[in-house]
Amino acid sequence: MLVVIRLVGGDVFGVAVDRVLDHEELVVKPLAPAVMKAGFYVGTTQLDDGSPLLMLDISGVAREAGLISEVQHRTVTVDDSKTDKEAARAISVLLFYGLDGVRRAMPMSAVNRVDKVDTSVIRLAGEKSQVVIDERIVPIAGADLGPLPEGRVSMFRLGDGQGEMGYAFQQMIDIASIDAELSTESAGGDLAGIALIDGEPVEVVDSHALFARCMKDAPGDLRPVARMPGKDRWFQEFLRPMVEAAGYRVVDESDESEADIAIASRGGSDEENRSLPAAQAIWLRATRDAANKKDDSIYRYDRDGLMAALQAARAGRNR
Amino acid sequence: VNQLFLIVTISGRDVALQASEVQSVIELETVTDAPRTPDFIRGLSALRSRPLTVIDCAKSLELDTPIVTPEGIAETAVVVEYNGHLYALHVDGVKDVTQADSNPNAIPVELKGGWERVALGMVEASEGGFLLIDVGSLIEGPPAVKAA
Repeated sequence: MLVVIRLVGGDVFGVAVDRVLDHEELVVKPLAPAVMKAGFYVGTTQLDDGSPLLMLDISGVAREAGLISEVQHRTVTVDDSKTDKEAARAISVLLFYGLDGVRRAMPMSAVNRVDKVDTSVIRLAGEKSQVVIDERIVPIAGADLGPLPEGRVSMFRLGDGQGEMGYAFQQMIDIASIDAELSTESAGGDLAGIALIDGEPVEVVDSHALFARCMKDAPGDLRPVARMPGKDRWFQEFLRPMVEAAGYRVVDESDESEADIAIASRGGSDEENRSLPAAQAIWLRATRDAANKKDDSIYRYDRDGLMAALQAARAGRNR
Repeated sequence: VNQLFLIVTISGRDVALQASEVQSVIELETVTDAPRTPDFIRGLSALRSRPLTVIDCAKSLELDTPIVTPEGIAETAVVVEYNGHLYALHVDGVKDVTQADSNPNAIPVELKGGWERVALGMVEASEGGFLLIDVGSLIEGPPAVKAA
């Protein structure tokens, strides 16, 4: 029986097995260095009966069999003592189409793995976009280059050994080896330079610039932000718990972060309202009935109305 | 200062391990083979939910005599933690826990084979002198043999 496997870089090969038993989600634990050194395993897990199970490093097996050569490896350091001058100057890259459809190359050394994530875990905010990976919020680049697809989007998980970030893209093309000396005339931003691959120019992503740009901010908060008067006890004590329960992070006028929504009393002074900058506002009024038909405020104890407004503001933000 | 030592038997020889390094003594049950790993790694086992790398102490020391489990008892291993990983050191058996001065004495004789590599000194207990073994060196195994 053969198991057909496609590696990250697109290489396809078959592994002959005696039998396929099951497929399971595993919690993979690290192996002792002496076992890792074999280059055939990525970790170990336990079956329900407690017996240990080694998880195969398929790319290691493929490399040993001589099926792939250029796929780099994360866990095994290959002693490459006979690197000649030419090879030393070449870098391995993953070729991909960005969300804007542009062909780019990502240095393989920065890529921990390739994943698909639900677009709902991505918060778009230009250069400060974020994504949830393993229940952590990390920066993501590339996501604002073009429209996110419906459902799931491909993402590189980039690591520099300490931090992690994501890079959204449309489609993987291939693995290539490029000359480390790029044409750097157009370098800047996230662009390290232009490489020629099969006679066509390809933008090479500057992984250092990506990390420099995205890692300076501490891991943020994916929740939308609601700004409301900090000194008003009704807002802080009556309303705040409800707004937080609706999934918002609550700030007051002293906080400089950008708010998605401001909540204030209709009839408050202009000065008060100007101090609550936000993309949208919800106005609250003290009386049950609106003063006139133009009044779009919400009675401050109209829980259903308030909740609906908070949810609408949240939904609008993700658009 | 007196300190506790665990006396274990490796290939018929009684030696001492620092008791503070030892987490537990277990019976080896299922050991999963780990092909293509060094010879002295017998395989993988598990202690509760943590993976255990099983070390064949005789092979780590490059001894001619293998680990022999005395009749009537189960295969025994000493569990130690080293650089964040748990290891099960497969030994013939565990003899005793004893007290001895924590400063090991110099070794009076020249040791053979792998013993030289792992020996820290002699500890003098009331039962006699025992070679004190460095757990780390035991786990690291023999220096990598250059592939032919």
